Order: sequence, then C-alpha cells, then structure tokens
Amino acid sequence: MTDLSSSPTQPAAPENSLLTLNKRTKARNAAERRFKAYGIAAISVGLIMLLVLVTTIVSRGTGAFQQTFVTLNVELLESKLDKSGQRNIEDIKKVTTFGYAPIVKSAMKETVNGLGLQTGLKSKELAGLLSKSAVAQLRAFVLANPEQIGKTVEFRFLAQSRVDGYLKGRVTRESIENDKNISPEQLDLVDALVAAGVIEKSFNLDFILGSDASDQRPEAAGMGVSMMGSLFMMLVVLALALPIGVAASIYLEEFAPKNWMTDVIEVNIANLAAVPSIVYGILGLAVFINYRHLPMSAPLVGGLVLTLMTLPTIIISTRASLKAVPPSIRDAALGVGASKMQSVFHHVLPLAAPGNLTGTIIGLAQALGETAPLLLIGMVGFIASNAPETLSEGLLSPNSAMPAQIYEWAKRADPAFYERAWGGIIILLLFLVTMNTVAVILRRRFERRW
Amino acid sequence: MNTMNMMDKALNTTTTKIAARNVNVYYGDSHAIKDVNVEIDANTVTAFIGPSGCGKSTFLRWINRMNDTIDICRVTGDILLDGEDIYDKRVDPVQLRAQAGLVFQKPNPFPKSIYDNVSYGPRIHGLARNKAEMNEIVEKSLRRAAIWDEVKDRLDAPGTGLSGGQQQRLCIARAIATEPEVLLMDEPCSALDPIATAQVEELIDELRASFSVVIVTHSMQQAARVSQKTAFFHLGNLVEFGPTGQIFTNPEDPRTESYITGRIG
Amino acid sequence: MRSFAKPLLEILAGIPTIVYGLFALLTVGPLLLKLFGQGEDGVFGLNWMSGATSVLTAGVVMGIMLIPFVSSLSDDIINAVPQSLRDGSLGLGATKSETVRQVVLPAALPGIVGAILLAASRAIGETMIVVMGAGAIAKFSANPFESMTTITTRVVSQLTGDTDFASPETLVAFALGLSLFVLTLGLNVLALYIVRKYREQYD
Ligand SMILES: Nc1ncnc2c1ncn2[C@@H]1O[C@H](COP(=O)(O)OP(=O)(O)OP(=O)(O)O)[C@@H](O)[C@H]1O
Ligand SMILES: [Mg+2]
Repeated sequence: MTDLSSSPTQPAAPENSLLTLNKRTKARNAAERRFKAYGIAAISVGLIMLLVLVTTIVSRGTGAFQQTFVTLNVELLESKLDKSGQRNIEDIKKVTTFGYAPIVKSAMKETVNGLGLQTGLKSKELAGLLSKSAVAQLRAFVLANPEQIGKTVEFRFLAQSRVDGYLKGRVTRESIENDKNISPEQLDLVDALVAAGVIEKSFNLDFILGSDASDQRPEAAGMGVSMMGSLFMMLVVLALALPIGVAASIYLEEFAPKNWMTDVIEVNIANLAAVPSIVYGILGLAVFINYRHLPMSAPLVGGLVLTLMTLPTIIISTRASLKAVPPSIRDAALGVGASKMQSVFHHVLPLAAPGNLTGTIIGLAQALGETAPLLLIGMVGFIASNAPETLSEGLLSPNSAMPAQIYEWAKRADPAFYERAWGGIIILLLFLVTMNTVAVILRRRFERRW
Repeated sequence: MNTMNMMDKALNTTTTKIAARNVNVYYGDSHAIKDVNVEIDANTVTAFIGPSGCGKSTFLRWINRMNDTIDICRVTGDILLDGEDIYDKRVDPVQLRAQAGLVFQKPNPFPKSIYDNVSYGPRIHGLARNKAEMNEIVEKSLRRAAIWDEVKDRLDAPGTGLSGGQQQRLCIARAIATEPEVLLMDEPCSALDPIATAQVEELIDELRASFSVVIVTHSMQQAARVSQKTAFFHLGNLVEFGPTGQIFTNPEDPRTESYITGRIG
Repeated sequence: MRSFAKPLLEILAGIPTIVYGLFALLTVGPLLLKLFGQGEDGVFGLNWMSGATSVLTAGVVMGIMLIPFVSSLSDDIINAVPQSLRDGSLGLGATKSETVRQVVLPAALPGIVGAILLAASRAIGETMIVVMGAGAIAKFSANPFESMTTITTRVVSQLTGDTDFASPETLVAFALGLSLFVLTLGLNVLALYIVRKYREQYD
C-alpha cells in the first residue's frame, strides 16, 4: 500500500509522514501540555482551598456537638429548699438560685469524698467545675417536681467551659496560667473524676435545640432559638417573595408591552440582584423601623428586608423559566379558544414551575445565609432565651437568626464561643447545601430541551 | 511539480490519496455511516451527493478526525491518507488537520478581523517567516476564494460582520491559506450567488492541480460541473461511486437514478 | 466532569459570607499574624503586622470567596461561545490550547471582563468579611498589613445597637450607604451592559 500511494507529486518524505511528529507539532504539544498544567494547577489551588475550608470547619466545629457533663447524686435537702415542709409551690419559689448553691457544693464534695479522692480544693472551687447554669437547672427541676424534695436524685450537670475545653484539648495547663476561672489543682481533680467516670463527654442535643447563653456560660449556648428566628424569617420571605415574584414575572413576561418602560424595569431588576445586601439593611432600618415603627430585632422586619433582597433573584429565574416555554404552547392554547390568562395559568405556568421552584429555593438559601442586613436591624447582640410559642410571638418578639447568632459568638472574647460559631456554621451549611442540592437536582430532572 | 502533474493527467494515471475501508460511524446508538469503502484520488475533485442526513458531513469530519471532539461519536474501520492510517495511535490529529483542511457547512468565521481569520492557520503552523510573507499568503488566499475585491479595503473589519456568502468564502480562504493536501468542503456554495458560485467552482478546479478536493453538494449541476468522481450516499450507505459522467448518465443503482432525477431526497 | 463540577461550583458560590468571615477572623488572620507578625508570634520575625485583622486578611479571604463566583460566571460565558468556532479552529489544525487562547478566550473576553466587574462590585459591597477580618481603624495607609475600614464596616459600626435616627452618626451612615449603592450600581450597570452586549453577538 505504501509503495502504491506514494504519489509522484508528493514524495513520501519522512518529515511529511503523519506517523512521525514533526518538530513544530512537538513544540506545540509541549505548549499544550503546559497550558493544561496551568489549568490543573488552578483547579488544584481551588480544591486545596476548598479542602482547607472544609477541614477547618469540620475540625473546629464538631466539638460543639459534644459536651462535657458531670454526673452527681444530689440530695435535695428539705431544710434548705422547703423550710416549712408544706410543699407549697409559692414557698419553694421563694428560694432563689443562691439557695441552691450549697446543695450543689455539698453534692460535689460528697462525690469527691465518696471516691476517696484527695484534694486541697475548697468546696467553692469544687462546685466551680460545674457550669453556672447548674443551680438554675436544679431549681427548675425542683419547681417542676416538688415531691422529690428530701430525696437523692441523680443529675447530669454541664461542666464549666474550661473543663469542657480541657477535655477537648482547647484548654491546656500552659494556657491557664493567668486564668482565674480554673486552677491546675482543679484540672488534677478533673483528671481523677474522668478516670472515675463522673465527668464524661457525650452528644450535646442542647447545642442544636437550646438557646444562646450569656458571656459566662459558653457551655450552655445553643442554636435552637436562632434557628426558630431564621425559620420565621423564611416564612415571611416565602409568603411575600414567592407570590409577588411570580406575579411580577408573569406580568413582565406575558402581559407587559415591550417598550422602554419594561426595558428599564428589566435592567433595574438585574441590577438590584447585585446590590450589596447591606444596602437592603439600611433601607429596612430606615423604612420599616424608623418610618413604620415596626419592632427592632423582630423576625418580621428581618423577613421583610430579606424579601426585598430575594425578590430580584426569584423574578429573574422565574422569567427565565417562563421564557423557556416555547411560544407554540401559548399559541396552541390560544388556538383552541383559551383566554390569555387561561393559557398562562393552565399551560405556561405549570411548565415553568420547576424553574420557578429552583429559583425560589436558591433565593431562600441566599436569604438564610445573609448576615449583614440583620446586623443593622438589630438581630444580634442580645440573648433570646425562650423559643417563641405562637406565630405572632415568633414574628414580632426579638430574636436572632442563625448567621447572626454565629457572628455574635465569633465576636465574644471567650474562645469557647468560637467552637460554637464553627459548630453553628456546620448546621447552617447543612441547611444550605441541602437546599442547593435539591435545587440542582430539581433543575436537572425537569430540564427540558424543546 | 506542475509538469509532473500535467503528465499524470495526460497519462490518466491517478493515485489514491485517501482510502477508506469498512468505515462505520456511530453517534451513540445511531449508526450514521455503514460500512463504507471508498478511494479518493489525488488531483481529482470528488463530489459527495445524497439526501439530507445521509452522513456526508459525518464522513468529511471523519477524514480529518473532527469527530474526535464529539464524545458520543465512535468509529471503526481504517482510513489511509497516503497509505498511512490516520487513526493510528502515533498520528497527532493536529498534524493531520493541517494536511486535510475542512470548510464547514455553516460559515464560522472567528470574531476577529478578516486578516486574522485568514492568517490564523498559517500562523499556528508557522508557514510565514515574516509579515510580508503573511500578507502575501492572506492576499493570495482571499483572491483564490474570490473575495479579495470585496474586502481588500477592510481587512481589519471583523469577519463576523460580513454577509453570509462572504463569510463562506472567507472560510474557504481561511482553509486554503494553510495549503492542505486534501481540501474537504462541506456545501461551500450553499449561500453563494451564481457569480460567486462560479468563482468558487473555478477555484476548485484550479486547486485540483495541487490538492485533492472533496466537495459535498446538494446541487446536481454543480457536482456534474466540477467533479471527476461522484459518490452517492443514502441513509449512511455508500450506494454508488464512480466517474461523474457515468453516475449522471448511466447510474447502476435505481436509488441513484431516482435521486438524480429528483424522485427521492 | 463538567456535569459534576458545575453544580459544585454553584453550591460553593452559595456559601454565605459569614462562613468566610469566620474563616478570616479565626483562621486566616491568626495565620497571617503568625507569618508576618511581631515578637514571638512572627515566624519570620518580620514584624509587619500588629494584629490579626488587616486589609490583607480580608482581601485574601474575599479572593477565595470570589473564586467560585467568577469561575461559575466565566464558565457560563465561555460555554456560550458557539461550538462551531471551536470546530473551525480545530479543523484548521490548531491544538486545543491554541483554540482556547486564540479563539475562545478572545471571543469570551468581554463577558469575562463583565464577570470580573460584577465580582468587584460584590467585593466593594461585601460586609461580613471586612467587618470580621479587616478591623475598624479609620486611617489611610498603603500598608496592607494594617487594619483599615471600609464603607460597609463604617455603616455597620454606626448603625448597630440602639440607633438614634436624628443623630449625625446615623445620617453619615445613611450617606455612606447611599454612596455605596451608587458606586455598586454604576459598576453593575457597566458590567451587565458589557455581558449583555457580548451575548447578543451569538444569539
Ligand atoms: N453531533 C451529532 N450527534 C448525534 N448525531 C449526529 C451528530 N451529527 C450528525 N448526527 C447524525 O448523523 C447523521 C448524518 O448527519 P450528517 O450531518 O453527516 O448529514 P449530512 O449528510 O451532512 O446532511 P445535510 O445534507 O443535511 O448536511 C444524521 O442522522 C444526524 O442526525
Ligand atoms: Mg451536512
């Protein structure tokens, strides 16, 4: 074959053979490889950063889901808690948390002595191993179960945050040299109590369900109430942004005349989607709080601000999905005598629904993670200790939101709160990644090629 | 070399430039080209005709391995260019494509100036040593593609701003600027007026002296005018292949006859 | 690869800025301080940085934040370059990298510039990262290792807590907010104009 095909016009010179690469091709292939290497390097850098980010979050945050507890047998002395012995709830209520402090101290002492441990610590220092919330926990239990007074009950108290940090490796003997909250002797005792099984680490449901706590008690702080705040804000956003957004897109896409007015509106919507969120916060502060006198820090206001912020996103994606429905569908509906409105609501809208849903979820996810505007309308800086019970309370009483709560923790001085902040990030990201993944899957599944 | 060419023609001895053996092309599950054998001669114009969707473009893309860029595309069989298997592992498609230029069915000028469009190929293949040589190549290619007079005053204007027919000729100029040995043209005259068509046909005839040309066309007259050999494809099969005169006057296959006379297609 | 990487990019672009803010405050800031800080902290003994919050901290983290944003946007734009152009280049015997560099990128360039402008506008309006990473010292310095303030930080510090709506501080914050709005709006209009104009070429 080779002899046959070596045509006289093209002598099969070796440099002309396809089977051997000529010099230039080799050089060009080398350039190609270099270019590819740059690309791979860029991707690797990106991936490494992602990896660093994820590992930082996970390694620093998972600690928040574990907490150190101290298990004690507490004798609920009648002489201290109910002097009259009547079990009259009003009388029992008169005993403040101060009245419970000696009980906790003695329970701690009993336990240490019972284990035969030698320690030079005073009983105050012994009780110092427990969280400051221990007395409140005890009191709440007694008020709920007055019949238990006089008996000995087993309790699981939170350990104070230094003890917790010591067990998690955050606090070391070197780091506490100037710390007045804990002493090396106390840590010695902690070691002994851990060995005895009195102090142990276990899963901390309260971090997920509980409320924030004051500066002194990082061990008791939780995300639960701010999660409720976020939930109520999302309700507001959903209830407002979805109908308004869909109505606006339907009007703009299906009914509005195409003139310069609608053009201006369209350009504006695209621009609003890219306006910094803090500007919406300022707007909300000025309009809803200063002018309309809605309560500060209320999820309702937060929801309104976030609605303003999400609307452009929802409108853009809904319009895109309406646009993607081919005109032939509208023509077909109109052709069999449907009114314009019927054609839109019976035929176009159902076909555009998945796109609309995707846009809504992405918009909600954005709103859920947004912090900056919430700072301005006062959703940080205080402690909402009780979960709201009714809808109106949920909307109007001051609350925080997940990202605002994280910011709040990050600002506090005690490093114990940082762990909470990272843990909060994990919870927040779980929500967001779930929402975004659902959106991506939805879009994949309903993606239609006409 | 030219004299040798002349001699070739005079002696009527042709040599095989491209030989395809048992070629099958699949796009996913659909079988686009079915067991085609064809030999394309050097210094001839070969026309591919056939109804739409029968696999003509696919076959052209196959000759310069453009199908490599389509993930779902799978090919079997051998294709030999000057006796060398172009699907051999050692063959770099980049080098192959420099030798087998392809003019696409739809004009696709780059969003660059007309000059840059034409000089693109010579530049990447290093065919010009200096600016003057490049200018020469650009002018020569544009002249051969019968578009020089229309664009000579605006070589810096974007190629995308030309009319459809002008774009098509620009793409032809771009392809011949690299001096390929084989020129594959997919419906190069589909958007051209009769005058430009005549000019391109002239070009094709001229190119035959140095290249072998494969042209896909839907115009029977054009095939008859410019080609020496004609291949008729139908539903992915090569139905008939032979000298143009014979195909058009005395086809062997009834399908060829009905297509040529306008009954199928 | 694409079908997997693209949603991943989008999800990454959806990570809220508080995450990056925390990253700046608790990870990057202390790390930079360790590298460039003074005294025992400084690994190189450079003594360039006095605190963990600095312009550099915020800048680095913001750069990381914008990677998925810019690449997702640019990907859309590069994807919009018609396949026929790539085919045209490859058909002439160009390698893939030559095609990308000389045909695809120039064709997509206006769109990519638009994407970068959008990213810039996001960076200017970005609040959480600077509030948590850049500190709040109002001074003018060319040293990126010092902490400085931005419009957004000022707005946050003036308007958080109890707000007295008549006080000059509040009015200043509103004025700052307005300037921010105008600034980013200008950038956005420009960016969207470029992106759009470019898109029309191929529609
Ligand atoms: N990228 C692709 N993916 C899947 N199928 C394809 C692709 N390109 C072509 N095909 C299929 O392969 C078959 C042959 O297509 P081809 O483009 O070769 O036809 P053609 O003969 O050039 O038609 P026309 O005269 O209309 O240009 C057709 O059925 C087409 O649908
Ligand atoms: Mg074709």
